[in-house]
Order: sequence, then C-alpha cells, then structure tokens
Amino acid sequence: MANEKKTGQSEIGGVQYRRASLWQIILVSTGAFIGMSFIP
Amino acid sequence: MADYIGFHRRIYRDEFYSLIGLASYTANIGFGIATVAVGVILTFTRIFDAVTDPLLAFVYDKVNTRFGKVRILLVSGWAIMVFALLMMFNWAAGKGHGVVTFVVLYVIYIIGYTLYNMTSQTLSPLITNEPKQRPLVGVFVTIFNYVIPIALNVIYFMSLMPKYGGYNLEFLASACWIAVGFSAVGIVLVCIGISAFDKPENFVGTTAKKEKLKLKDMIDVLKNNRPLQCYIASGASDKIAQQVASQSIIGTMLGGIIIGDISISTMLTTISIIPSIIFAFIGAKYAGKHGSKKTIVTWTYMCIYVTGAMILFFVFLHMGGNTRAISTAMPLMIVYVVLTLAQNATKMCVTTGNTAFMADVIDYELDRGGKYIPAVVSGVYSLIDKLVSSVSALIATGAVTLIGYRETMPQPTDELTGGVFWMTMVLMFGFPLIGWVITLIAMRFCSLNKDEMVEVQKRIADKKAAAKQAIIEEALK
Repeated sequence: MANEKKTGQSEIGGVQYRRASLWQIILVSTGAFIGMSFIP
Repeated sequence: MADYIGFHRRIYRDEFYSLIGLASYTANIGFGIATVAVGVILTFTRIFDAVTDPLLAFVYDKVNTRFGKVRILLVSGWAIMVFALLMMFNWAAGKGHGVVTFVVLYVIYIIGYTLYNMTSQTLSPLITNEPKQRPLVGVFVTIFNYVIPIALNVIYFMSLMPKYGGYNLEFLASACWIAVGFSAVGIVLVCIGISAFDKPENFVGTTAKKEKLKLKDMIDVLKNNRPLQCYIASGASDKIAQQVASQSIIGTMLGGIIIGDISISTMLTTISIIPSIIFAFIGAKYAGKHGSKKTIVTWTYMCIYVTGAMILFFVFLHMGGNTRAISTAMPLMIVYVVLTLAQNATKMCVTTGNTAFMADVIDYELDRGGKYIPAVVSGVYSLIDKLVSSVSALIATGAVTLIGYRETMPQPTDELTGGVFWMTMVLMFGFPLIGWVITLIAMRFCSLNKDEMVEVQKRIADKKAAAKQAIIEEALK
C-alpha cells in the first residue's frame, strides 16, 4: 500500500520512491505539443 | 459524408500534422528543389539523424547549470528547431536560396530536434520511479498524441487551406507559425512540470566520485546491460514489423483490393481513438500492478491471439471466395471492426509496457554501472531503432514487386489475385507475428521483472546513501 511521506516521495514495502503529482505528469506530457508539431 | 471521410483521410493518411511532413513542399516551392532531389536529401539526412542520437548523450552528460539540466537542453533544442523551421518555411523560403541553404537548415533542424527528443525521453524516468505511477506518464502522452494532430489538421486543412487555396508560400508560412505557437505553449508547460525534478541530486550516480561519460561507457552499456539488449531486440523487431504493416501500399492492398472499400480503414482509425486511450489506461494499471516486463509479455501474447484470429477470418473468407463481403455484409463488417479494435487495444498495452520498461532499464543501468546515463540508454536504443525501421519501406515495396507491381503501385481498383491476398497477409499480419515472437524470446532472457525492480530501487537508494556519507566524511577530514 502506498504510504505518502511528503510531496514528491512515497514509500512502498520499505522502499522510498520519487513520485510526481498528477498535474506535473500532465504538464510533462504536453511535450507531445512539440513532438506532434515538429517531429516526424 | 464524402467531405467528412476525405477530411479524416487527410488527417490520418497524409500525416501532415507534423510541420516537417510539409518539408518536401517548402523544398520544392520555397527553394526550387526538384521532387526527386528532395527525396534523396531527406533520405540522406535520416542517416545523419540516426548517428546524432548517441552523440547527444555526451552533451546531456556535460550540461549542468544553475537553471537545471533538462530545461536548458529542452529549450535549446526547441529554439534550434524553431529557428531552422522559421528559416525553411518563412524567412528564407522564396528568396532565391537553393539546395545548399535548404540542406544546411534541415541539418540544423535535425540537431535541434535530436537535442529536444533525446532529452524528452529522459523525463519519464526522472519524474517518478514509483512502480505504480511510472506507466501513467505514457498514457497522457498517448492522449496528447491523438488530440494534437486532430487540432493541427483542423487548422491546416479547414482554415489555412481554404484561405490560401493550396500548398503555396503563404500557406506554408502560416502553418509554420501555427506549429511554432503550439510548440511554444508545450515547451513552457513542460518546463513548469519538470522544474521540481530538474535538480543536480537527481542526476548523480551511486558512487562518490564523479566521472565524465566516455565512449567506452556507451559500448559497455550495449555489451553488458542485458535488459537493454532484450529491449532492443524486442522493440526493434516490433518496430520494423509494425512499420512494414503501416506502409500505405499495404493499407491500399488490404482496404482497397481485398475488402473493397478503403474508407472502412479510415473510419476504423477514427473510431479506435477512444478504445485505444481506454486501453492505454488499462495497460498502465496492469503495468503498475504486475511490472513492465509482465505487461509486455502478457499483452504480446494477446496481440498474437487477436492477429491469429484476424488471419483465420480473412483466410476463411478468401477460401469462400469473397473477402469483399466484409464491406457489404453487416455481421462480417462487425467481426472485422471488433478484431481491428482489439488489435489496436492490445498493441496499445504493449506500447504502455514498453515506455515504462525503458525507464526501468535506465534505473537498472544506474544500479549496474553506477552512472545515471538515461540519454545513453535511450540514444543507443534510438540509433538501432532508426536503422532497422528505415528499411521498412524497402521491404514493403520489394515485396509488392514480387507479385508483379514492378512499374506501378497497387491501386484500390486492382483485381484481387492470390498473390495480392497472401502477400498482404504476410506483410500486414505475418511480419508483426514474427516481431512478437522475437519479443517473447527476448523477454525470456530478461530477468528485470517487478520483484527485481524493487531490489534495483533498494540497491540504488542504499548506494546513494553510502556515497553521500562518504562525501560528508571526506569533507570532515
């Protein structure tokens, strides 16, 4: 079960992970604006 | 209705949503280069394009500023691309410049887009290494990849084209500014989204000493990173098979000659958008629960089953002597539509697994070699991927010459012969089947499953903590 530690981090099974907020994932995905406009 | 189908055919078949898809027009109209010469130039620059990918890994390794690493690289790549494209489509077009200017600008464009593209491929592993969240990044990229081309084509073909009356300098210049506008919004949003992660501590290796990236590091990755080798074998075989199947001449043979109504494939492309997006989410959920490797393997099996059913469906109808009944008999049409949608859906789940697996391979390399070198991993993969996929058009055109198309290309109105039927089956479905079998074999040699990834992340965290401690102790001496 994901246990929220603080913003940008989570802990699952004793391992600490780096995580993003949903809005950060969506904004990073808008790189497709450039890919789809310019890149073959 | 005809206009509607025609519009969607333009969207999905001509692929002019990307501005660079119009490069041959600006080369011809803006720089006076003959159509044949344009083809030669674009083919040669593709070779240059493949070589630049791994080279940019060195640039990625070197750039470390107080404004971050990836934002600087993304903005630089974007600015170079924009400069080259504005020159190609606006400022230098129609001013009496010739082939040399065009080639120089095209090469500048490739440098910019490689810089941008290679960096953008490193963002997914950078923002999250949480197993449940990692596959989700690819889902939103998929959604935008569907939406942006539709938006761009609506503007290009429903607004600009009627206004300027065809492919002329004014149309090309306006299309360029629209693409620049879209991309400017994208680059600002990406930089905002990534800013919290674009920090030096996220790019360090697992050892206390800092070493510069060398060519031998790159060779070492290719030689000793087993999951990357498996990923290359699986990804490259899939890519070549899918690209052969997606050649427009193969689509013409299936939709036009075998089914007898080419507009069905256009309609299917349109209605498959929503199921594909839904399955991107399902694939991400599955990958979060079972890991990237199992996602690739499970959904590759699904691809094989669905494609096997598709082959049986066509062979059964062919033996009955009427594959064209698909376009006239509703029950057959429904079976074909369901099988095609199932094919797209299962392929989408494999794609989602592949995207997450690339990020896993980057973290595996950090654990194995001690260096965080995402651009090396993605660059090496990209080089091989581009080299193998560049032969796909050659395979398709070579195959159709074997069935008699030596001087002409297949037309939708051509007679359905046994040669056309079986060659289409081989290229459209047989090649992807071979690609998926290679994927399954390659993944048998890969141990990077969900449990192993947990151990990889544990080891990385422990090694980083030890390295940090060593630096502190060194400073205190």
